[in-house]
Amino acid sequence: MEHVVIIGGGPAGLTAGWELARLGHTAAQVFEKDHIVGGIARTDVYKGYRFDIGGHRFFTKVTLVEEIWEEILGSQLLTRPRLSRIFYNSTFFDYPLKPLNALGGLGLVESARVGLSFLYAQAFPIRNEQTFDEWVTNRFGRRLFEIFFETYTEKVWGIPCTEIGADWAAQRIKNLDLVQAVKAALLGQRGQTKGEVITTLIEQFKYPRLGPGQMWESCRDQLADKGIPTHMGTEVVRLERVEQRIVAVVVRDQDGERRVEGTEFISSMPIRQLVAAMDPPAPEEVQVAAASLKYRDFLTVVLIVKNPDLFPDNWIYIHSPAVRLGRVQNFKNWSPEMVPDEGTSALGLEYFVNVGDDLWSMSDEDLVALGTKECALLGLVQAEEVFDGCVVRMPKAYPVYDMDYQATLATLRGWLDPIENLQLVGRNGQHRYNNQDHSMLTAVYAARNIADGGSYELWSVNVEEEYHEEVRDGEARGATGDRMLPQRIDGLEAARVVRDAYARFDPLALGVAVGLLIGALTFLLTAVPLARGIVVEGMILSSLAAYLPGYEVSWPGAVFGSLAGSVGGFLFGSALAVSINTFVKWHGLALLRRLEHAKALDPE
Amino acid sequence: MSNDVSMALIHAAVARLRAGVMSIVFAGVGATGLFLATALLLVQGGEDVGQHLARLSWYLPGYSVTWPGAFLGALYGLILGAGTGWLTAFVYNTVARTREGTN
Repeated sequence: MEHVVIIGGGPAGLTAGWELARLGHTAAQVFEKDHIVGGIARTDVYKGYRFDIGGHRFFTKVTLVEEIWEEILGSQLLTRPRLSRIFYNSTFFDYPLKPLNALGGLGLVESARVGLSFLYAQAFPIRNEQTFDEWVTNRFGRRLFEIFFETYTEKVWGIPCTEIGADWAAQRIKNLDLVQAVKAALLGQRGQTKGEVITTLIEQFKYPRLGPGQMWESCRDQLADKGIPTHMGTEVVRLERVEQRIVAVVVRDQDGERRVEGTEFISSMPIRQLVAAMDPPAPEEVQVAAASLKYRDFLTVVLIVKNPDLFPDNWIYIHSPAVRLGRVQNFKNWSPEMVPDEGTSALGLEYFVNVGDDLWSMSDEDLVALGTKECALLGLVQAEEVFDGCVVRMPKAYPVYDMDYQATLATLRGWLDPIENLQLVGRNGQHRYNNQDHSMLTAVYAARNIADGGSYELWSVNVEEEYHEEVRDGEARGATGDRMLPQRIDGLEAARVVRDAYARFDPLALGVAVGLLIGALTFLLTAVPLARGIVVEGMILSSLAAYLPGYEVSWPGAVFGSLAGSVGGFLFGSALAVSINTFVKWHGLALLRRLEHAKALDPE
Repeated sequence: MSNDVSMALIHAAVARLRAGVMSIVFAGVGATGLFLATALLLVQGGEDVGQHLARLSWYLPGYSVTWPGAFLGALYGLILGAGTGWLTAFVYNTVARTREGTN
């Protein structure tokens, strides 16, 4: 029987153990460097208060994963109602956004602004949309983008919306179909096509009675009962490789280092660390590629509040640009047993950060003070109600897909894939922004490849389908979707500057604009004194006849003069555009020649 | 890529007039122009100063070739200039966008 070494006690690692045990293959052990299982899906405890690192809903389109959850926790898995709203300008808005609710909350004046900007975007959409802000503005209008998308997106990803690719928006945001939305609001379900009734997973979800960590603690304990131990506080520091096989890992715990041999290896540790731990070392280009993988980090400030009923939401998105806070979890609303004292609540304030930045480096006391201040500023709590708090920092919470990510991963896979007995699973194990269920699925397949001799391709899990948090009646359960991450578009601003600087003026458009202007001016100059009865012989206005054939200070003269002025203005505007275009073209060509010349002199 | 091709690609883009910028520029020109036109006549002085320019009062109620009139004229120039600039940009952009869509 193969001896399996599983690296990492998160959802992927423990699921691999679970599936191996289910298939009767118990010659396996799990190594977890932390003292708590679950990875980012852990539940931490502070003075009896339980809290997640982010919120972890248990929902999936993969029946297999749902069955595993049921097997592990059974009746401990609660079905919970979901309420999550957006908090903006002291008002709660439904999430996902519902048009009528959003407009109602914004008030009359703001709604009018939103409506006008929506109509404008529909009438004059931005062509060739490339960025997140352009994509959203085209569908929702500029004002709604500014209120509901811009601030939060920039808080989470730390990238300006003008530099995030439009493809991410296309996957993550459903189109606003105003007609459908109004129909649904007025007619309810009757307004929808038969068979299209959405059985949404948005409205409820599964959740362990004591938080997501309970799932993985129970999994660990049941695995131990089946003969698969999980070694806590045990870090894999080296993987010994002989040609294209791993033969052993060296692990380090409080007693020091020891060598553990195996015949099959499943790794959910970050690829960056995995490559760095290879012995003999990976080729230099592979090490460089691994070191270039990037992550987005995360910290949670937990506030214990002397108030039993703060708000009904599971979590709230904070869109206010006045605070750095991104999201607030109310753990009591996930499960009442997350707090030990009914008279209190525990809030998880989520800040999206990078390791080493100012928030990450701030002391716990200062972070608790900052969180209290921001919550009080938003009106979510009274500062004096906060009587305790703590901070949890979670590095590498999200793998980041930068512009080089695919090439980097191809380099890494080119070297890692040929290692016959090593399989990579999970979010950081594959450097993919998988949900918990997707991570688990990769682990199930890895286990089956070992125990069943299967030939599942782990990297093809969920790359084909769209990602949506809902299931329609009749839709095949089992389809999964990859979650994209926003990508920064390099060079976009430079391209825009060049385009703006060298774009040509439309001669017809400028002709029409100037023609209408001169025509209207001519008419008004004549019409106003005529209407007011101020007509004087020898008026200076009469001299316009020298330039405008048919003009005189009379009503017919005003019309003819206006027409002549329009034609003259049109010719002037068109000529102006052609002149500008010619000049700009010469200038542009000269510039390009200079650049070519410079390049020829210095080809590097 | 040759210079001609590079330039052709860049030049395929049609410029847009920024309505806000046009408003500010036209407003500046309008206000400054009308103020200076009035002020210069006043500084030069003489009899029946600015008899032609004074006829602007047909169009701009309250305007006169006086120092208060110069400031009022500047205000008119500001408002009308801004409106004209915005309108010009709006018409231009609308026509350009329509043509771009049909090309």
